[in-house]
Amino acid sequence: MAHLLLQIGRVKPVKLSVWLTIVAVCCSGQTALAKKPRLPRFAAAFVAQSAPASMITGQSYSVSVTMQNSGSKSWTAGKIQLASQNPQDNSTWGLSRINLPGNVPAGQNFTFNFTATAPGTPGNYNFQWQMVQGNSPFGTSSTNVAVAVSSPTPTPTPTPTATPTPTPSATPTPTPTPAGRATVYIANLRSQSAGTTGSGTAVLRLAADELSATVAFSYSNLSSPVTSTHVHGPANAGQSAGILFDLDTVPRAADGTYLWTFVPVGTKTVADIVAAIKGGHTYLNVHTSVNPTGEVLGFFNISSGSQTVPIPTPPPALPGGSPTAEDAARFLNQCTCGANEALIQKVQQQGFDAFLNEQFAIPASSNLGFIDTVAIQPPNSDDTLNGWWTIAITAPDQVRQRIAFALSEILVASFNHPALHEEPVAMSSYIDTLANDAFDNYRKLLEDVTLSPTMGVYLDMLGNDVADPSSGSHPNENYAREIMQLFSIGLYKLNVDGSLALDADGAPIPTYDQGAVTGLAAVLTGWTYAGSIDFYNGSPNYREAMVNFAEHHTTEAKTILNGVVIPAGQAPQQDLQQALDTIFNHPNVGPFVGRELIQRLVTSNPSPGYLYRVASAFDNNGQGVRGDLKAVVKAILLDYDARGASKTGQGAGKLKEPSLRLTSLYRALRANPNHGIYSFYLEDEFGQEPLHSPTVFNFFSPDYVAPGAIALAGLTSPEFQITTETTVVEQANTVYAALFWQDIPLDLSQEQALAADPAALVDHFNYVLMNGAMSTGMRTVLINTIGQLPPDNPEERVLSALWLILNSPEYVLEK
Amino acid sequence: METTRRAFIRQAACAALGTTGLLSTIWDLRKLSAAPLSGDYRAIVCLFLYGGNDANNVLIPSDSTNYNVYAAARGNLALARTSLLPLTIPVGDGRQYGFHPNMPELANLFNQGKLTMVANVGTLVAPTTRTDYVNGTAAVPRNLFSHEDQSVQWMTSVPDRGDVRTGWGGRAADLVASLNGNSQVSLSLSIAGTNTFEVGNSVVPYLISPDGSLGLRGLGSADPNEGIRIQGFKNLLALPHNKLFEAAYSDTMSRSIAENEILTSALAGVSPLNTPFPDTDLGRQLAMISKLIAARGNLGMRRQIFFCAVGGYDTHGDQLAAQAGLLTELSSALNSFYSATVELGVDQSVTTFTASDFGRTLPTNGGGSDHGWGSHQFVMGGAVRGNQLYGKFPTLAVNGPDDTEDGRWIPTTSVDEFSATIARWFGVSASDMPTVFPNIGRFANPNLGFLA
Repeated sequence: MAHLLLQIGRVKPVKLSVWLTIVAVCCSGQTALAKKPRLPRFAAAFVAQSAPASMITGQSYSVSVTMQNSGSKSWTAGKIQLASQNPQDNSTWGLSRINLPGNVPAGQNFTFNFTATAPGTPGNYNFQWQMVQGNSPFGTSSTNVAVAVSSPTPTPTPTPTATPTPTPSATPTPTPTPAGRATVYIANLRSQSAGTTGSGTAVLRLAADELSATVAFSYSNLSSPVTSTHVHGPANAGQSAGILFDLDTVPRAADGTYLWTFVPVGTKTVADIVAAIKGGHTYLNVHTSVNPTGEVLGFFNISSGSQTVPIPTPPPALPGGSPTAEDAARFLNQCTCGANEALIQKVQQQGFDAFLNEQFAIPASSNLGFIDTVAIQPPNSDDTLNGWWTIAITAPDQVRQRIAFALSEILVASFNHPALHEEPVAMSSYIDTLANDAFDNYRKLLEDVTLSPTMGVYLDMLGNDVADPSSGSHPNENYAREIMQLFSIGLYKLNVDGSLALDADGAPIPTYDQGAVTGLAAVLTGWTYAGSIDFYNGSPNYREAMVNFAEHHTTEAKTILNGVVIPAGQAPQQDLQQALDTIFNHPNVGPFVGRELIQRLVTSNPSPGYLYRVASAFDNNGQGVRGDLKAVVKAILLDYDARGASKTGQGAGKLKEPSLRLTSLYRALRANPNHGIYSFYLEDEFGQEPLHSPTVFNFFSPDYVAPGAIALAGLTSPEFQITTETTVVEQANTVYAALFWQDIPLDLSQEQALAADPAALVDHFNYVLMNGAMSTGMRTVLINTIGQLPPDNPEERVLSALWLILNSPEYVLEK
Repeated sequence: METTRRAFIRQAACAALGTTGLLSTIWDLRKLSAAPLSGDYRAIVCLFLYGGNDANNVLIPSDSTNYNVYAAARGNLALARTSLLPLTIPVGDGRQYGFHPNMPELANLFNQGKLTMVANVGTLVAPTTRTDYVNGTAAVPRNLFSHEDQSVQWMTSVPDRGDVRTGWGGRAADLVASLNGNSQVSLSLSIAGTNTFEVGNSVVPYLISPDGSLGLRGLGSADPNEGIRIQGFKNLLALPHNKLFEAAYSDTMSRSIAENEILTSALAGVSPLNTPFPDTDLGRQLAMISKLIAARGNLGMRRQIFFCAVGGYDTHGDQLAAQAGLLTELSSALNSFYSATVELGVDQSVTTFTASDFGRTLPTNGGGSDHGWGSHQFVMGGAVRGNQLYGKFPTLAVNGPDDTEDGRWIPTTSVDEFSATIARWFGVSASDMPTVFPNIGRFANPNLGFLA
């Protein structure tokens, strides 16, 4: 899973890898350099290159050029580059210069590994490279290769290799070994002690000469920062043994691996160690400050090529009976826009399950209905926002609205787009689509989002036209890529518990290649606004699903995800259904979407068991139906990890989103504006204005890891991406304005009656706002502080208590 | 509940142990990453001209041949040749140039060698020829001619991706932040609100208004109730936080309060500058930046990045009057700022540059101009290698060799090259350049040489 973490002790990597990933590997020269008199200062000799002899237009290919520094002077990074030739500095392959990542001493070989993107127009193109200093080439050029670039054919070609650039966290990458092929052993790291939910993966590559191995590991969700990591053995499963290799004794290589050069340990010879590895008798153990004797552990077993994960043991049973008020409040803060006393009592009476069933049956509140009935027509974008806040704070379909908000952070469309900025109908309509489908099937949601004109504009599927060979234009790939990367399956194959599926080399397996994006882009051609009489000049219609103009639909066969071929000549709708079915049935959808929904509702760091149970509910709702969101919502909210005592773990809970802090405040304090509108003006510094995500990647990434202690404990912390020195103060000041200025009046009568007794006031808020989870230390500080405020000013006491609680670390971490 | 409380106490004890180890780790990393200390100071100031400045009327060919080409193409937007402020360029490209008549201070700075312009800079995915562009075979920046996209791409310098959240200033700051030692105030300060330019992977920009930094409401108030509340809040933050998330939030809030307090007191300790600033939006912003530079010693800063901005450059209509007003403000405020750096003795150490969404169409639309692409940008400071222009001035002709169509220039210098030159001067090493500018390898000149 993408939240695996390997950036031990490092600042978060620059998340800027580009579609042209340039990787350079330095190889030491093999040639003896004796007696080379009077060489020119800069000289280069071409050694080797590799590039496909034929390519497909627009596709990316990994290529390499190896040059020897045959001069007397070191090649300085920044001064010396590899440049395209024939003609020099042409950008035929998408780039004209390749930089050196470091200096190359005289006599050494250097291999430039980079990605060439084939031109968009078929033809023969020169592929040739030479070293340059500034604009002056020197040394021998690489051999010119005339690469034949052709249009994609319906049958898939085997070579295209452009893989989506891995985003955040690292996973073991294969390391070349000096000679022969390494043997790969993989360990699934699992929690050793009760009450912890850590997990991870370790990969050991035994070199072919059996004199060394490389070890890499990743982990997530630990209780505390890692203190040490060892390989132990020989032992059988369930037993323990002494340390064979302490990873901290060697430097961590750039690719995340640790080199273990075998030496005898005690009475164990190198041969004994190799035998232990081969026999499955070694294990990797990660130790943490809270669990110094070890927190996660796994035995290395030879990789079979299809990694399976252990089926997690079922969690303890939950207690029966009526929920306590605190448990009801906790539940409501997870699944609504904020608990209040009326709903707490309702949940206590009905129980969780019956409450959800009742919520499932309430029809969706209409955002479009809201803006269609504002006094001044046509509505503007502020009306859409007012509608969102009003519905979030007051609507009876609270669970639906909360799920819709969660979905709006996964299937993101935003006002923050030049063409949608002034389109209130577009965004109100889009939120309605999500709310209407929140308890339907994920397959229907995917289709409704795909055909939403708002999404069509946001990610360019609207107006996506057939390829035009005369101009070299090709179908727009934006939506085709994002529906797979962000809305359904993600970049890498997942196991059902959300961990990364690994290949025989221990490497993650991409879910799709560039060919699948190109193919899907062609499937998604011909769509525009409903009611248009002309494909190119449709008039904006954000109320109805897009329609297809068949003459702008690609009729050739298209190869998409999993090599599925959409046959030539089908109707556009038929193409669409087949493509969406293919995506929806990919096994990743359950763990991928399940994880993000859990993150939005319950915890940033779901345990493998939790995710396994939620993904299983996605795969089958118990009646053989896949994608039933009611079953998924229940699986998330009624699970032991949401309802039970596991909230004490380090990975439990999540930072409460800033906009939900506001809705919670207004719901808990019975806000009742005179004019009936709950509207806010939020400064940019607040960090999260609903419906205004800065990009399709949401306000924050589901994989964001805050540097420091959180990273060292392998925890994912999405909301921390919008938790900065600036936003925290702006958020506190926004809460201040809501309380002390009250543009939206609050009803504080009940609370003011408690103000004479600070302890009673604090305990009341502890139960409504904090699910009873307030620490004794916090309670004491609050009581002391409130006791210092004038007793004859109950309002000041109530508002101060609220301001302190709502901005406190314990409240902000919703457990 | 009882179990929970016991667990809490147990974890609190262990967490205290863990925190000690962690702090020392961070401390060690900081020591390791600290570069040799030499006590030098460098700052860069990004002045963003929001809306898309029409630089066609900032830097104008003034010899009769080239002026006539300009005037014919611009129609009613053309400035009178006699009004142009002459620029002294000993070795040029054969043309003579003048500045917009409302920029006498900047013309003066140019002729003193303290200010230059880089011609026809813009967002590029890779070097792009007109043939490629017209044939549709060139990869072009996402959403060309769109304000939001183009202004962000100027800041990220990665115009082929829509998911980049960090700016090149922020990424450069990540690399040099260790030079500021233990300073508790962010290296990157913005006087003009949130911006992508200064967002790094680890360095987070801190926002300041021209009046001071953002503090908690109630902080420093004379109302005793506010004082009780703020003290109560500090007491809450000071509680032991056994949960890493609580500790991280609490640390961020505490850091923010501290930054505000440090900045407020550091600014209070600075003697007022003698250099007068105009009482304009930009004048006030640059006056605050001058104070923050003056406070660099109090703040423990050896590297600083500032962001300031002015809007209103989207001159679709009434351009002649509107831009004249904007350039008057620009010229006067920048001139004061340069003088302030001289007064502070840091004129060699502070480089100011402009950026803007895009240039504008050469032909008039009747009263103004529309969204373009490549444009000319200012670079100002004592480190400027002056008395010459940089980049390649475009051929001012619709359907000419530099035109997409309708007089929108295909940039001949990329934002990457322009910005990398500044970053190099600021202290980003050549080998780190691809970290800050991932596309720089596609371009010929990672250093345009306009800074010494």
